[in-house]
Amino acid sequence: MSAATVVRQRSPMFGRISAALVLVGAVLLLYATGFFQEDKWGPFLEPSTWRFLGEGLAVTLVIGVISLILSLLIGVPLGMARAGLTGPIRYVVGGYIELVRATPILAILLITLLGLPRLGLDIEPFWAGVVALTMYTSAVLGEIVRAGIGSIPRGEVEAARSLGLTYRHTMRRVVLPQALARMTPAIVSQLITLIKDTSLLFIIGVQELVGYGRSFFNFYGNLLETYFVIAVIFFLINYPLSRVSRRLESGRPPDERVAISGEEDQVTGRADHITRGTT
Amino acid sequence: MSDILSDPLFVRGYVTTIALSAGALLASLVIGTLVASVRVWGGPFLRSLTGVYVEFFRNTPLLVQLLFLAVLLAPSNLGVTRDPLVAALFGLSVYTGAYVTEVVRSGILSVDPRQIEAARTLGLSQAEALRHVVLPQAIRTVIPPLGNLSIALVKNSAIAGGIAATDLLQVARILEARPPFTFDPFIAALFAYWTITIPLALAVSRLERRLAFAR
Amino acid sequence: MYKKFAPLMALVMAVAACSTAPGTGGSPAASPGTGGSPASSPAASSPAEPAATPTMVIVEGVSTPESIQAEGTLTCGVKFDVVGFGFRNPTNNEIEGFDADICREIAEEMGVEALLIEAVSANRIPFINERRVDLVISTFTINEERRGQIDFSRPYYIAGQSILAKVDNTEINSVEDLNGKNVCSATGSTSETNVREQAPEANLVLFPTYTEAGQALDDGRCDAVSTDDVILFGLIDAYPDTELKGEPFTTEEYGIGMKKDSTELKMFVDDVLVEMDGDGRFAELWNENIGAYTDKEPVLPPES
Repeated sequence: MSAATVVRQRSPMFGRISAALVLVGAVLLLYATGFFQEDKWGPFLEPSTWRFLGEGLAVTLVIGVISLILSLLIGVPLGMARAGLTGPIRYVVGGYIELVRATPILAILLITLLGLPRLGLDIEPFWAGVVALTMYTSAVLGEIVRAGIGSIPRGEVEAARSLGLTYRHTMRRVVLPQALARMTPAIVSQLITLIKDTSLLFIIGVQELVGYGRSFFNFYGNLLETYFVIAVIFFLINYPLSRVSRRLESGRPPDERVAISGEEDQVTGRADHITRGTT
Repeated sequence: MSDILSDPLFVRGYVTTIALSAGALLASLVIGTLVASVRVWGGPFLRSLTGVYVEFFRNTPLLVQLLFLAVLLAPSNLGVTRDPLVAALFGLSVYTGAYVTEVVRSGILSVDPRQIEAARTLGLSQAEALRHVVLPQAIRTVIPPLGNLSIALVKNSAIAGGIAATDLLQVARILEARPPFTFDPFIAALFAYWTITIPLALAVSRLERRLAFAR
Repeated sequence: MYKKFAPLMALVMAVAACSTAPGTGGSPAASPGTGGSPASSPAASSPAEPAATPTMVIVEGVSTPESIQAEGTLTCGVKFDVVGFGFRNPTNNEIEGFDADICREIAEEMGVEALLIEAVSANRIPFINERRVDLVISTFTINEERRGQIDFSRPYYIAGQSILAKVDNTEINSVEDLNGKNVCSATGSTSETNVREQAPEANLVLFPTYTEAGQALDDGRCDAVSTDDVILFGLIDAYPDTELKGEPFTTEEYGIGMKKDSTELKMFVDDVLVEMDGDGRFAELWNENIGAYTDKEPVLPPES
């Protein structure tokens, strides 16, 4: 029994009427902007449209996958370094991670695009985008890994060590397998953020889904409708991912869930006690 | 560098970012609390409707939402506003509101209903029970995630430049394109963002620790 | 050690990526179902173009009319994304525009074929020095710094920053009228500075690209867009209910770029330009390509 069943405040009719009003109001508003004209939606019935947008979507997904892989390659060692090492190195790595995570990703993107040429490195917008996304995501993943490793009780590590296992062995056989299982929901959530953030790349001239969409509505004159369709496409990719993440997480007891701060998609809104990892 | 930091445009950008974030946070709290109430106590139809809102705005990119909104509110459509800041405020509020909804909802649900029963038994009215028993506990659960959302909100405010709002990052781009074409404006903007996000992050983590101990 | 590890990784990755990066970039070929040329969206680069760095590679020798005739081909570097000057039409893959047509005329005078390849802003001088092209006709502004590295023909077009507004907007007729109005442009461009100087009370609204600025003009968020008239042509093409208002308030001369010390080639090209101006071909090509967008007189500018 939850609070919901105990506190019922309003009669059902009130709710239904207000919902209906909101819906009708929204529809009227959109109608006023010509949202429902047939000629604006017509292009979406053509197969060539979907081939065209499909190209853009492919670029988006490629960027996402490349960035994710690179971020894992960089982030996992970073997180392990921060969790495992002692002394000043740990603070330097930690400082770097926290600084990057405290920066808006669009800022990282622009600094990468405009800053690297000044250092003599000529970089294409596509790769500037990948570098920027990777830089940010790897920092977040590093934090996830650190929290994941830290969520394994020290007792297990101590037990493994006292049984004669080396540090590497302990990591590989005891800590990491469990940590990875706990981290997966958070990693999937970060993937959602990553895919959404690829849309920022059109600002620096990368032709991904949003960029293709802009060429499309410039030709057909249906900006609002096209942006809506693009949003739906993103939704169709991210919503299943969010369900996967939630399913993976729900199987775990509260103190085994890995959560980190400062990222919106990492906030599951669960009331249960979450652990940031004890170190 | 000091000439950038004292440049009125830079200051304006900094203030705009703070104001935009603060305003959107407040608005999203209102939106989120309202929608969360609906999600907790509403009928099945309302719950589905609000569920669509939450899932749609959480899983679609903020930039696309802003681009759509800016044109929707423009004179040739709904004619609400030409000002990109207004559109950005609106968009950021609705986007963050979707996240706030889930946080507030779990906050409400986290309070054991038996406490309300007990309070009623002891003679408190419904409203008093909510105010003195439910709310204090719910707030405890809700504050750390809300803190995290506000950090994310400040970072997301930078996206407002995509619809030409004059926030901190936009100002950095403008200043970088003026003579003497140095990269300093971006460095300055970086530090300026850190002066907001890092203290927030420290405050949130201190709060989390205090609340965790208190349990 | 670990201290430099992470940021260094990013730089190393960037360097590695640059040497192996497949060519991406460029605007996608808008492939709508049925014919008709699509509304052009100039893929204008919004970050300010950094000053051209001197190229490392300089191949020996220059092209001359004879050498080109011997080869049988005149290779020109042109833009592929600027409406009216150098624009690849996605429906038939033809390169259209004033710059492209001038190249073809020069080739005809030489009795050779014209080969048009894409020269984006950053590549123009490198392509000349590497002798990948004989000429660069690519909305190329003549300035002292470039004169130090390459030769230019006499100017063939005077561009300038202009104002675009809706046709039925009678309030804006000059740059001073921009005061108090919403003026759109792109971040990272010099256009913003120029407007600020001449209309300090104007409210500048800066978008990531000119396409957005054009869109904002169309839906009423802006009263005007201000940038180089060449870019505005593309916007007029996309939004036919707009027009240029008033006179340009800055000037830039476009010239045909060629390798340093190409005295013979320069003379030949200059002569062709004068001839074209004299017998009406210049005006004809002008009117065909950009006449619809501008009221300027289709004449060859004087030597600078």
